[in-house]
Parts: sequence; C-alpha cells; structure tokens
Amino acid sequence: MSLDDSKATFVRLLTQSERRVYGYILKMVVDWNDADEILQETNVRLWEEFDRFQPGTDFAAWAIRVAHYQVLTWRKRRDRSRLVFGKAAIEALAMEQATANTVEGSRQAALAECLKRLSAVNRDLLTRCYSGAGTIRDVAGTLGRSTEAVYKMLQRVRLSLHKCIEQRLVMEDA
Amino acid sequence: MTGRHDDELFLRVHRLVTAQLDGDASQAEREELDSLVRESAAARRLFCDYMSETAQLRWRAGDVSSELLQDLLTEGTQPAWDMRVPLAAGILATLAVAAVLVIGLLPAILQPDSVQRTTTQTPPADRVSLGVATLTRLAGVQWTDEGESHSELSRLVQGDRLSFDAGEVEIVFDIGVDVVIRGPAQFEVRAIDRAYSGLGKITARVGKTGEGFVLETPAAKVVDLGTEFSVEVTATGSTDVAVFRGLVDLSVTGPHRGGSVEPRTPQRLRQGEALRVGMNGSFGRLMTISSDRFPSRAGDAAKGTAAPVIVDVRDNGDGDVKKFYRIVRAGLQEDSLAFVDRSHQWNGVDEVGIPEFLTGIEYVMPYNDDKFVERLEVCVDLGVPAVLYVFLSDDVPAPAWLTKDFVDTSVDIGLDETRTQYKPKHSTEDGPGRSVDTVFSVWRREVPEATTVTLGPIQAQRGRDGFNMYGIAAAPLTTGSVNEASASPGVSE
Repeated sequence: MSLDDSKATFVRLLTQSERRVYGYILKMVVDWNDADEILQETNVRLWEEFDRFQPGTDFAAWAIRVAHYQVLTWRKRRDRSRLVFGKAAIEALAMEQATANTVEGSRQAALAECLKRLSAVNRDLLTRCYSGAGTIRDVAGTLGRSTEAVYKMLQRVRLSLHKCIEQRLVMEDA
Repeated sequence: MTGRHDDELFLRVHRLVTAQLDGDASQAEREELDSLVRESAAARRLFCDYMSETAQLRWRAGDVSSELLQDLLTEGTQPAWDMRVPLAAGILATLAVAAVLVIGLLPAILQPDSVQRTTTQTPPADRVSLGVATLTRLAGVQWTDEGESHSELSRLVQGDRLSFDAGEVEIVFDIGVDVVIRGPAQFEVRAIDRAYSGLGKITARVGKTGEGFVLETPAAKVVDLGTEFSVEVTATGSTDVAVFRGLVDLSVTGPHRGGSVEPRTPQRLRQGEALRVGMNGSFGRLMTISSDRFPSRAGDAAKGTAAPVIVDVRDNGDGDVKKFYRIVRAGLQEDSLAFVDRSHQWNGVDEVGIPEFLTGIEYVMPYNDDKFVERLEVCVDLGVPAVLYVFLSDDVPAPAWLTKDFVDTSVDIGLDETRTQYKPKHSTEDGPGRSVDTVFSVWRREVPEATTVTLGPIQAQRGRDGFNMYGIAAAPLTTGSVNEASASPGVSE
C-alpha cells in the first residue's frame, strides 16, 4: 500500500472510530481539556503504529486499546489528587467497555433522532453547553439567566434526551 | 430508565459529572463519583451511557477532532504524516516529533485566545443536531454547475446533496458506514443511517455499528444487515445491487405501485448474490460483475487493466438465480477470494507462493455451488488471445471436456477453506502455504483469438461432501507464456 493509500485508509478508519475513542477517553478522565489532549496523543500514536494494524480487524477496538494505555500514561504524570477515579474504578470501566461496543452505533443513531425531537431552544442550550465555549456559568452569562436556572434547564434536557434514547433502543430490540 | 429511582441516579451522575467538567467539583464530589462507579454495576452502566451521550454532544457541538484530521491532510502540516518513522529510530526522536505535532494540533489548548479555533466562540444554534457524516476523500471530482461543492473533511448534514459529473467521493457516516460514490452521481445524505441515490455507482461497507443502514434509489430500498455491497443507479432509475459479504434486504420502491405490475416481495441477498430492480418493479438476474465496475476504497486492491482479458462470463442456469460471476481485474494474489458464495482463499501450496505466471492475472470467482449443477455450461468470453487456466481440485476426477482441450501443467495451487457445514473446524490463515486444505491442479489452454470458451460441469463423487467448484483465470497470450512448469518455482511433484 502506498503512503497516499495508507493515509487515506488511516483517515477513513480514524473518522469512523474517533468519536468512540473520544467517548472512551472522556469517560476515563472526565475533563474536557485532558480528554482533548489524550485524544491527540492517541491519534499520533495510532499513526505511528499504523503499520502494525492488521487490515480487516477491528480498528476501533485497537484504537481504544491504544487510548487506554495513553490514559494510563497520562494518569502517571497527573497529580493524584486531581484524578477522579482510582485504579479499581478505571479497571471496572475498562471492563464495561467490552459490552458497550455492540450498542454504541445504535446509541449514536438514537441520539441523532432524539435531538431532532428537541425544541430549537433546547438544542441551542446543548450546543452552548457542550461546544467548549465555557462553563455553565459562562453560558448563563451569555443568555442573561442565572447559573441555577441554566443548570436546571440542562438537567431537564439531558434527562429527557436520555429517556428518548433508551426508549428507541428498547424499541429496536423488540 | 423506568422509574423514580433511575431518574434520581441519572440526575446524581449528571450533577457530579457536570461539576467535574466545569472544574467546580470538590474532593468529596470526586470521591462520590469514584465510589459510585466502583461499587454499583447499575451506576457504572448508567455513567458509561451518560458519558457516551456527553461525548457525542461535545463532538457534535464542538468539532473536537475535525481540525486535527484537516491539519494532517493539508500541505502545511505534511510532516505530521511523515512522522511515521520506524520504531527503531528511537523513542526520543518519536517523542520529539510527536511533541511538535501535538503542539501544532492543539491550538485551543496551547495557543493564545486570539488564534483559538472556532469552538471557543459562540456556536450557531442547532448545529448540535445536524452533522451526520464526514466527507473523507475526493478523487478527480467535477461538481455539477448547479450543485454545491464540498471539501475534504467537511461535515455533511441531513439534506446535503452531492452532485458531480465525474470522480469519486468517500463518505463516512457517524455510525461507521463507509460509502464510496463514483460519478456521474446524485447522492443525498438523509440521516445518520440513511441515504438516497438518484444516479451513480456506490460501494458501502457496513460494520457492526452500522447495521440497518438504508440506501434508497428511485427503484429500490436496500437495508444493510452488516455487509459490503455495491449499487448502480442508472439514468432511468433502474438499480443493480450486488452483495460481496454479509446480507442485505432488497425491496421495490419504484412507481410500479400504481401500475399494472404487482409489487414483488422483498428479496434477501446473501454473499455472492445480485439482482437488478427495474422501474416497473421487476427483478432480473445480473450474471457477471467485474471488480472495476464499482468504486473501491482508497488503499483497497488496485483497479483493472486497460484491456480486459476476460470480457464476460455467463452460464446456462435458471434465470431466477441471484448469484453472479465476479471477474477480478486486479488479479490473482495470495489470499484472493476464490468463490463469490464462500470465503475460501487461493494460496500457494507452500511458502514459495502462487506460481509467478498466475500472479496478478485476471480470474473469475464462480459460485462454489455450481459444483452441484450436472449440466452446467460456463461461457467465458475472452477479449484478446489468451491462455485460459482452469484450477481443478485433486479431489475430483478430471472431466472429459477438460482433458480434451486443456493440458495439465503439473503446477498446483492451494485452496485455504473457511468453515462450512462439512468442514466445521476449518479456518483461513494469511499467506502462502499456511492452512491449505485442498490442492488444485492448474490446467491450461491456449486460445489464439478473442472468442468464447465453454467449460462444463465437474464430476462429483457419489457420497462425498465438501468438494469444490473449479477456478478460472486468464492471461494474455504471449510467446513467453508457454512453459509454465519449467518457469515456476511453485511446481509440486
């Protein structure tokens, strides 16, 4: 495979799996900036090691394994007092990943459909809260609302979204 | 989520995670989250689901990584790709390059606010709900005058249309479905798991996460059940569908519904099966599909040759049969699939590999189940003077039609068989001489002009299961293509 073909293949595989990898990392570190940084490091590592990837095997599973080791490396250099999870929780979450893989695509599709059901105001709220533009307090300032009010709105929208997703997944299984 | 207790648990997870993500969490709250995840399986599952949804929302709202891939592909950051140095070059060198790359790719984290990426600005409303796919490759695309053009790595939203007169576009849907479209084409992204094509040739690969992906055309609806399939939509709307791996459900959607033709029941197509759906709702057989007919992904096998040796293959079978012959223009290689309806592979019988005179030549993937057809006739149309090869299993006797016109070269090729009902313990391995289950003798016939050669059936032995159909290959006839046995190191005694 030429370098150009290799690049194109890597871009395709990474595009297909990157959000799952990101989800795995975010779950492990629960920090926007740290998750971004580990994701970039993971992507670099994946490209470095791409010669070792066996075509036809599960790229996402391989990428998540690489991400797991990047998370462990990151934890070693991180101040322990700033870590959310201890070793036992990290291991339990890694185990949970194995069963989550099979429904991840369905969950993504369900979320896309459920987002369409939300009002424009609620979608705008989600966009503001999860775009990386700032904290809930910052969003509240932009909207001219109290932090508590925005927090309550977000809580309500997230719960509604989650219930919609769960209902769709149950209907899919039925 | 079925009750009050579930809601309370969800809100507890939401509160703890939101505080942590906002940087407001106390030590006690971090310990509470750790304890929750560690001690309760139900809470752990809910936390994983919540974080999966959170990551999706963040991704949709903030384009977490599209800029990374963009940087990797643009000329200005070419060193990003060139940094794939051999591991032997040393950890220090790798870390140094990686550090440069990471700094270059993380403007939002490491650079001043003035040059931060757009995700730090107020995002447009509704953006969170719209993106469903990413355009990952453009090759020689000529967009139509009236259509909108798109760039590599642009996000595609529901309703986006791709209209182009020539070239190829590759798209990855967010659920992991990879689609390559060859122009002239009219393609519309309809949802995260749904698309429409009014014209063009399309190849889709659908992994586990993308099962249920739907491709609609003017005549048909294809529902993927985890597979690789190709579709051609002609200017009249008729639709050809071929399945190379897995299963699809094919139903009719054309305007026949109001006409005199009765709607046909949906068809399930398996590996090695194909059908044409007419605008009147009729199903027709597709006898042959060459490997260069449909687009392939970048990095996949090379395209066909300029002057095909094997022009067409057809048989005397029932017109309702769904299975097709596949002409592989990229040529015979180690681990090439042997049959359209099985996953058996051709390999060299030993570590020397497939004989040189066979390597890279065009070959046909027939149906293995043709071995059961007693009066089979397979017609091979040769476009140029050629040497026609037939690979016949040593498990079956050589039929008269073969011994009459062909010569046994004394060269062998191996078949690495995957699991079947007759051979449940079989599995394939990569490379020559590994896991070869059946040896085939290579027979040859010189055909000095472009013509049609008719091959016959194989003679199954009574009471014996697990035998295989023969293979077919052809190379242009040259003066050097006469004495394979002496030229090939792959000869077995």
